[in-house]
Amino acid sequence: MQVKKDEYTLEHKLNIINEKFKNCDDLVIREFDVGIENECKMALVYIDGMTDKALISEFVLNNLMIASRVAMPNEIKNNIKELVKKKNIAITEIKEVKEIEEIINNILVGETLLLIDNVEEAILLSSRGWPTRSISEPQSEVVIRGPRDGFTETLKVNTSLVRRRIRDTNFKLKNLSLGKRSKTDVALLYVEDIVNDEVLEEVKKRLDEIDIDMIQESGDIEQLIEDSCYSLFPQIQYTERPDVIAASLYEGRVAILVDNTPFGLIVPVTLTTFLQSPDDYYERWIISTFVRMIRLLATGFSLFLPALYIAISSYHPDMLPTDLALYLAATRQGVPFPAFTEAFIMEITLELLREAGARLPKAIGSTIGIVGGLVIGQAAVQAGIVSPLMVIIVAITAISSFATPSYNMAIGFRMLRFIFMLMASILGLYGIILGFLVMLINLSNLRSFGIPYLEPLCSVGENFKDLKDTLIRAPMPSMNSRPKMYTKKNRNRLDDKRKEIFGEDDIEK
Amino acid sequence: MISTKEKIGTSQMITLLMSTVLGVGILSLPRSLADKVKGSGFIIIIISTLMCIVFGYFIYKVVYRFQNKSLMQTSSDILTKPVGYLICTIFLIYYFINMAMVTRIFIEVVKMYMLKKTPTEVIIISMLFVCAYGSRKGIEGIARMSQIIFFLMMVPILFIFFFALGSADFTNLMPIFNIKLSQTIPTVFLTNLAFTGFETMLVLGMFMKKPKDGFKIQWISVTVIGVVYTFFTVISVAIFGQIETAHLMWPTLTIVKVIDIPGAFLENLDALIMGAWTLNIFITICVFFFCTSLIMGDMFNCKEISYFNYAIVPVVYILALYPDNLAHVYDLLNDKYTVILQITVFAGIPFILFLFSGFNKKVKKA
Repeated sequence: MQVKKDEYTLEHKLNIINEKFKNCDDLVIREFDVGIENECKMALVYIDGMTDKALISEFVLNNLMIASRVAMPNEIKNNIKELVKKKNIAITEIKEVKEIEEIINNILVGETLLLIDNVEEAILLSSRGWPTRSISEPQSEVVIRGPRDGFTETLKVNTSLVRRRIRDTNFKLKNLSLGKRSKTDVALLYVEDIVNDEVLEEVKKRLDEIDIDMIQESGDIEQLIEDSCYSLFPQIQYTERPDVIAASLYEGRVAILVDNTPFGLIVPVTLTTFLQSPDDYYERWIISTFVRMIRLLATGFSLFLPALYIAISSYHPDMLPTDLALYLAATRQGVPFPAFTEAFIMEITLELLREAGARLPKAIGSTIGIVGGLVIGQAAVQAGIVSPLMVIIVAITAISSFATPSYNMAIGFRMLRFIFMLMASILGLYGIILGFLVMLINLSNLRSFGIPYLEPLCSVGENFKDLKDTLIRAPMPSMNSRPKMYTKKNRNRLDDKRKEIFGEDDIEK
Repeated sequence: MISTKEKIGTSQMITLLMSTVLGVGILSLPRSLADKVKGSGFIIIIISTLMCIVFGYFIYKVVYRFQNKSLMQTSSDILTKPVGYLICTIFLIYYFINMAMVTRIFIEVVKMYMLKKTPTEVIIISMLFVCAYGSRKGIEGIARMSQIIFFLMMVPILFIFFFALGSADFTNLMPIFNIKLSQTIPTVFLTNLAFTGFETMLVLGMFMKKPKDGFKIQWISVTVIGVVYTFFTVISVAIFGQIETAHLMWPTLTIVKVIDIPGAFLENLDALIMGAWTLNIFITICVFFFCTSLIMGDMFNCKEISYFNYAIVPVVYILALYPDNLAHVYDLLNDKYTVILQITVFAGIPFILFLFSGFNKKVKKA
């Protein structure tokens, strides 16, 4: 038999909810009566725009109002909750909720709550549904070969995209809620029998430490949990691609997905990861190795080329063959600036152009391109403020810096380039080396969740096999174990059985 | 008490030791050998490499017996505390002199090949501060750097190797076995000076991840260094001849000037080679900085050692500026007292520690 308490009346509960949601005009309370004689009061509470209205009207409201007419009056009286749960509501996921705080929290995330008069528990109807962007190709990570689906702003869609790639019960997904006010859903993804436990513990610890009122984007989390906020180098990888997340989970890393953003985070990360692109793995190894070499070269150019120009033209012209040195001197004749100022003007112009062009609509963007091309190119040379060689060098640097697949790493390199230019203008080649050393000191002392940032380049003897997937990519059959730097569990990932099955000689055929 | 939370892997230790030893010695070794024993310098190098491996074995035994213990603790355990302080003081003096001389020679080379007009003080101060900054962050970072720098170093060395062979004339080495035994022994000790730095193992041994691999580390690194030294000694005599090599200040750098690379657009590669060499000198000074501050922290019983790094900078600066010129530097290095100090540190102390540690063990067993 039901105990009648004041607190259980519908009126009381609605009063509390109305009090809490005062002036929140997006709250919808739909009160209705069920049954013919002994009318039972009920109410549906949800937030407008966050629920699937058709679902609620069709399978909850409709059922309750119509099907209840055939129920026995006594049954309604005695056990209305069970009756509603078991026989009326045609929704897959329902739950009972008691605490009023929990009820409010669930309303806020987009669930619908069914409140029944004189029943302690409220029934939670899973009805989250709002218009979402459909899955489309990621804008920031375009690949030539590989899947074209990218994350969207809805967490559940994103996790399902990853789950589709890892159909394994060892793939775990932990839900967290971060931000005191925003209560953003965050999912922690890892494969249990591969993941590096120390890293996982560290990630959990750092996520638990977050005490902030709102989380807007995964970048907020990234900045709150990264190792060193003063470093120029990103210590957490971000991606829009589910295949990248899945691949890194298979490597024993941990991924963090955040609601409301298509960008997921991957930890830990090493320097070489930022010079890799997902299609390196989909393409054959010779091509990938060549492409990676090109990228390494491009990175070197984008870091050192303007600095080397400054150093050589102002301190070490004797390094060049006589003809080239004379040519350099001839082109620089009439240029009123020292080499550093010349390079600085051009590089700053380039950065301005890039920043100006980044956010413009495509139609205006091309205008910027034309104007910029004129400024950086012919006009500057004809005006006599820069030498033609400098224009070529700036152009090569610009092209090279676009060849780095990762945007945030490329920005780090861009800033370092200016430091190297400054050092080169003060101390020449020696200055560049000093700058390089300071960069190296910082890099080698940097860690990403306990993993040294320069792995596996900095422990070649210990992690020799990991070199197969760094600056080169080895053939697929030879990459038979997971990277040792990330995990020490379950390292075997491929058994090459071709020799056993086909015999030694037949492989070539 | 110094904490040993930081650990270095075996391969990192090998490259760390190699980069520490390969320093300024490589520049002048061919000259001093050609001066003393003409074309048979490589025999001397082989002998002194073998000697270094033997001393390395002593160091390994001591370090292995006293795992996770610093030099101060080890030496006071073996031979009472006052002797421990004495040994640490000798090491400190040795490191200070070495740092100063390495820095000075480095600065002279930089001035000669890269920055002709820049004041010496600027170059010294900038280098020392970068080294202090590097060593302040701990030995793990230095070890990781050494791996990267080692491979950056190997590229130019191999480069020189292939292109120098073209202009080498190995008949210049003849006659080879034309040396007396009485000449050999002092020269071996002089060559050993080029191996200074490998006794650093005694100080850094406590950071090894696998103390068992201690001897492997010693012999691999000393052998590689021996091979590199042999190569440069042989090739410089082969290119320049016995007499001219003895007259060149730094034959190794002159080789770079001489070799000609077909198709390269840069004419003088010495600046680039100098760049790679600078990285190496950086590791050498950096390790010396770290060892010095470690020993100092140990002697004064400090928990934190990182602030010693910047405190050392002015001392090294003054010491480095003490010699009047390059000739004075080499005079000081070949001075009787310096040689005695060096031999004490890399042969005497390991041997004494080894001897008495074995003795101690027997006493304890009985």
